[in-house]
Formats: sequence, structure tokens, C-alpha cells
Amino acid sequence: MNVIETHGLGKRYRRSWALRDCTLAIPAGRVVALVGPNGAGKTTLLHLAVGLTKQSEGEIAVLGGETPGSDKALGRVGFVAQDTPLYSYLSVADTLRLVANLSGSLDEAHARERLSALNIPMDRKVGQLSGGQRSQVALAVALARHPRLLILDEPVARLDPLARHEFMGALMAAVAEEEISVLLSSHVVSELERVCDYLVVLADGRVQVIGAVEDLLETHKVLTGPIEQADDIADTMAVVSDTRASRSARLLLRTNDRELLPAGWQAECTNLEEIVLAYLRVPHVSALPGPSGQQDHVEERSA
Amino acid sequence: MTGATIATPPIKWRIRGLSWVTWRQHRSAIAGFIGLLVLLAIFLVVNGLSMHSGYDKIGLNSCGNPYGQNCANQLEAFQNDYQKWAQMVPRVFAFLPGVIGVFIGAPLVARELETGTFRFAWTQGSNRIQWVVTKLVLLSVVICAVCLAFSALFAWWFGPWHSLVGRMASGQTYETEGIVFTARALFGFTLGALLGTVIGRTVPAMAATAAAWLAVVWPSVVFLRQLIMKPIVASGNTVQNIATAWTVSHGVQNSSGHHLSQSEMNDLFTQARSDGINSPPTFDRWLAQHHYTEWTSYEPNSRFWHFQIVESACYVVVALLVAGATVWWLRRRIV
Amino acid sequence: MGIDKQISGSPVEFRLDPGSGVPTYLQLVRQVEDGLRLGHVQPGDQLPKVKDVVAGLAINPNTVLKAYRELEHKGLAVGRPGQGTFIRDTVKVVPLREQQRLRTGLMRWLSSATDAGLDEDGIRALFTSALHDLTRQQKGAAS
Repeated sequence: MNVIETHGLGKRYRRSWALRDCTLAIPAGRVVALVGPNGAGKTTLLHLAVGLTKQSEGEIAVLGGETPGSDKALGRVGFVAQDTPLYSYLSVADTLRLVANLSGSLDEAHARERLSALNIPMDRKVGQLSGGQRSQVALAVALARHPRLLILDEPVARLDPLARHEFMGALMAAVAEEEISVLLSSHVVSELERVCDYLVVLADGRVQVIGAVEDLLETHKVLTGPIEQADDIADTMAVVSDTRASRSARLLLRTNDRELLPAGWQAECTNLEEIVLAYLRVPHVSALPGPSGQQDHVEERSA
Repeated sequence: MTGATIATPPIKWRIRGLSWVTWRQHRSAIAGFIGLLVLLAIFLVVNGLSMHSGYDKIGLNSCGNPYGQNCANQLEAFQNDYQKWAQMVPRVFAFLPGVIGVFIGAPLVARELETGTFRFAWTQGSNRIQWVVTKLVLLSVVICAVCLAFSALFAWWFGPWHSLVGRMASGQTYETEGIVFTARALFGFTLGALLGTVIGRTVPAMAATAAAWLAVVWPSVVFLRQLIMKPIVASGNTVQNIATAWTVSHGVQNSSGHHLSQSEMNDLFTQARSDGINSPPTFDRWLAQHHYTEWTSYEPNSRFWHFQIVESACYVVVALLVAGATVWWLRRRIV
Repeated sequence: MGIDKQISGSPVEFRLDPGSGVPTYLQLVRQVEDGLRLGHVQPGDQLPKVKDVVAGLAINPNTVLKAYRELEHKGLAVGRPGQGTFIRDTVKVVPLREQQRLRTGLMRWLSSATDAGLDEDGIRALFTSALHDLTRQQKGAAS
């Protein structure tokens, strides 16, 4: 089952397209990072997935065919919006009651347990909590509805490093405990690297890279070698980024073929951040599954 | 009751679901609104008790026709003591339904949009249509109940004046007595909800609600109300019960019954001046000599409920349309 | 005010070195191996629950599962359904006295290296390359 599936999805605000021609399928049971620069269309895609907004064109389905915003989808998709909006005039306990009454199904004990473990007082007004505590309340509320898919929009963007760590820890513990798929967006890759096992890169309203983190790391290598041969390699292999010094060249390329290493060249593994940054610097290059579903080529998209 | 007590659990009336949500989120607005009306009600009770007893003490209840010779002194005394309040209070109260729209209607959705909490509220399992319909319906019920009660109290307060000026006085008691007050509050509330939903920011939505409410209500009072039922036109001083009626218009007609227009009246003034007329009483005499008579068009006090029902029905229909537009906008246009 | 101690039931307390460049799952594997070698992890010990590890380290549960699978694959741990993952056997333990003797020798070598003018990085490079050669020799002898 795909937790999110889109075909030619697009959203236009007045004149400009926030999201265009977005086709993707995200399998269940993953922790998916949705990455991209500000304004790439991340929030738009997430809002489409939770039914807060309607697409201008194309299709989107969640949890294997449900329409976002339908009663069925609303009941099974949890959402923690950007800046975790909660009613600041409500106490934590009243926030739980509010959600219990809004959703009709809230595992209140689950949420209380989680929050008391974090020493968050139930009678405190939400507006008086720290940013980290407020995010934890939003997360606890979302998890206590036992969603099948949990969507989080920039959940840690405004948190300090400790609160960030605690938030991600709590989220990952929930993933370990329950069968829950998670989609979270961020414009900072490094904070998601250890958390996510699936990556979607959005740039300029389109999907640029999509795939399992493990596969991406395996198929992307950094080659370092003499500059004279760099052009030959660049011609025959799928080079994503090409940095040249006076004598040596450093190429980030995408390859399945581990044996094919030219003499005099050294191959290293790279990390997710480097891969993402390399792609974001060249928006016309994309890494999408080929017809066979194999990630076997870098495409030059006709711009 | 028998001695054996049966242990019945206390029946707790608990509200659930979206009703609870509505109650929890808007209870302070409702409390503020009710609080305001209670303060005004206290004033009405205190002032009303004094006015009622004053009416009796002065003897206006026992002198016969209040406009008759016997009552002239009593009427003057009563007017001296109480007319100030009776004129001012209804004029102020006429705006209360708009205040409800501004302070309860406009923030209803606008605040959610402004603070971003709609992204929380509409993703917790219940869809936003149920959410907004529940809020609109429940708050409408509360507003209507409170407003009807307030109108009833107002009617009691104004009671001593009923025999003197009736209830049809446009822009005054008519606006707060009966059911128009409530219908207009309902209209104000839904109008605020719609504008808040469309504008999406609380303070501008409140300002727009105030402006739009006035823009609808004021012309309806001044121009549309008299269309509900054609005013009765009477000539000369033969008008019965004119004191308790709403005088829509009056003027001068010639011997063949033609109502003189403004320019014809100006011609008449010029003519009278050339005859040396320079004071109102002599002008009246001059008119009578030239076979001109006065005419008056009015809506008698007996039409009060007819007018109230027709006008209220119009507001309710408009309120329903506006509420429908709110739901439509929320479903189609938001974000 | 006291220090907030985090006490867990397991003898293993994982930590991460984000700058090391070593994949996360491998860091976890190595910490268990090191614990076994140093003796504070023993056969029969239960490894921390996946949920607790990910809550503490804020990492993907699959990473922990992968590390535990790797430990099972190496024959160091065994998963018991519904209970958790337990240490099965220990890597060859060098007796404590022997360890102490080796450590003294190493300290002596280190101070002579410092006397010779090697700095910390130089020592590390030398050590790594020597270890590398040794492993290769052993591998060559084995095949």
C-alpha cells in the first residue's frame, strides 16, 4: 500500500503554481523526509495530503486510495502543522478534551502518560508552554489518535537542539511501537539524516529526487581523480555535481556499477546532505525511478 | 417516596463532540455578550420600575385619554421626567444586533484563519463543514434565545409609553421590541461569520461586519420598511391614533387631492410671501384660505406584528443565505 | 540540585558520534562488541528495547533493528520473539591481567613515540596503518 500517491498533482495560487506536475508514490511503513528549499511546495503538498486544500489539477490519494479530507482519511491521518498551532488559551488537559471531542476517538490515557513522562503539567495553558513542550503536546495529541499516517510540517524548525532531539526521539519511539508511516518536511537535511529512511526532494514545485535513503546512499559515489580524465567520466557517467581543483576533480555521480572505477580514481561513500545539496544546486537534474522502478539513470529534464 | 433508596447515578448532562468544542471555544464570547445584555437589563429593570411607578404616581393611568384635556399636565410631567431615556435608549439599542455580529460572528472563523489554528482544528477527525455548521447553529440558538428574552424585557420597560407613542416608531422602539431585534442579530452573526471567513483576519473582518451590517439595516429601515404594507394616507386633522402610529411622510395637497411636490411647495411659499405671509400660523391660515389641506401617510400601531414578522422573515432568509455562503466558501475557497 | 541521571535496565547504553562518518548502525554494533571485550556486557544480557534506543538517540528504528540483525548475524546476539534481543556468546575475552600488561606496553610505546616527536594525529596514522598491515597479513595467511 502507498500511504501517499499522486499523479500530475498541481496547486495554483492565483497566478503562480506552488506545486506542479508532481507524481510520486510513498510506500507504507517508512519515515519519509520531504526536503526542499523554502517555497519549494512542501507545505502545499502536505496540506493537499491532509485535505486542508484542494488541488488545481491532478490526483492525490492517501492510505491506499482515500481522498484527503474525507471522513475516512481524516480519521486515520494525523497532522502536526507548521509552528504547531494550538489554542493558546486552552490548558493542556482542555486541548486533549478538545481533540477527543473533535475526533471522537482519542486515547487520552496514552497522551497523558506521554506528557507526564515529559513533565508537562496538564493544567498549564498551552500559551505558557515552551516551544519544545508545545510541539510535544501537538505530537502527543496526534499520536493519541493512533493514525496510520502521521504528517508533520517542519516540526522542529523552531526548536532548540535539545528540544529537537527530544521531539525526534519521541517520534521515533512511536514509530518503533506502532505501525505508523511518517512524512515530515524540513528545509534542513542534516537533522533528518538519522531519522528518515525515505527521501523526497522537492524543488520549484516539482519532485526532483525520490527513493529509499539506503538506495540513494548506495548508488551515489564521490569519485576523486586527475582532472584530465574528468571530462571522459562526465560524458559516460551520470554526474550530479562536478567540482574541479587545479589538478584533481571531485565528481558526485550516480551509478549502480561498483566495479567500473577508472584507474587512478578513488571512490568514497557520501552522505545524504551532500547528495541533496548537489541535486538542489542543479534543479534541472532529477533522480526519479525509471520505468522499471530501478533507479538507474539521472535524467536531464526538458526545462 | 419510599424509605428504600435506589442508588441511581446522578444524571449528568454532558455535551459531547462538536457541541463541546463550540461551548469551550466560545463560552467567553457568549459570557461577554450575555454579560453586556445583563448589565443593560439591570438598567432597564431599575429605570423601568421607576418609570412604571412614575406613570401611576403622576396619574397618567387614571385621567382618561392621555392626549385629552384632563391629562395635559400629567402628560407633560411624565414626559419631562422620562422622555429623555425613552428616546435615547431605543436608539442605542438598535445597534446591539450589529455589535453581536462584530464581536461573535466576525471572529468565529477569522481568528482560526489568522492564528493558523484552522490547520489544527480541521485535521483532527471531524470535517470542517460539520465544524462550522455546528458552531453556526448552536451559537445562533443561543443568540436568538438571549435576544428574544432581551426584547421581551425591553417591551416591558417601554410599556408606559405604549399608550402614548405606540410601538411602530421607526428607528426607535420598533427596532428592539418584538422579533426584528433577534432576526437582525442572527443576520449580523452570520454576516460576521461570512466576512470573517472571506477576509481571514479578525479586526478587518469586524470593521467590515460593522460597515456591512449598517449598509443593509439602515436602508431597510428608511426605504424598504414602508414597502411591507402601503401606508394609510389621511388628509386634514381627521387622522385617528396618529400619535401611536409611525408617520412615514406628510405634506400638502390641493383641493383635488394632488400631493404637492417639493418644487410646487416652493412655488407656494413664494406666492405666500408675496402675499405678506411670514409666520407658520398665518401660513396655515393662508393655506386653508386657498383650499390646500395637509395630508399624512402612516403605518398604524395595529400593524406592528405584521411588520415585525415580514421584516424578521426577510432577515432570517438573508441570514440563511449568508450562512450557506459561509459554508460554501469554507468548503471551496479556503487555502 | 542533582544531576539528572538516566538509568536503564540494560548494561548497554548506546551513544552516537555524529562526526565519525561511521554509519549509525555500525556504531551500535561496535559498542556492543566493545562492551563484550571490556567485560561489562555479558552473555545473557538483554539489549535495550528498540523503542528506548530510538527515543534516546532520535534515530530511525530500522537502524537499531539493522544493528541487532548484524549482531545476530555475527552470532553475538539472539532475538527471542516477544522478549527482545539477548547476548548469546561473547567474543574472545582477554583476561584482565593480560589486558593490563598489554596496556602498560602500549603506554611505553606511546611515550617513546611522543619523545620521537610524533603528535597525536601522527600516532593515530601510524597505528592505523600498522593495524591495517597486520590484518592484511593475517588474511593472506588464512587464504
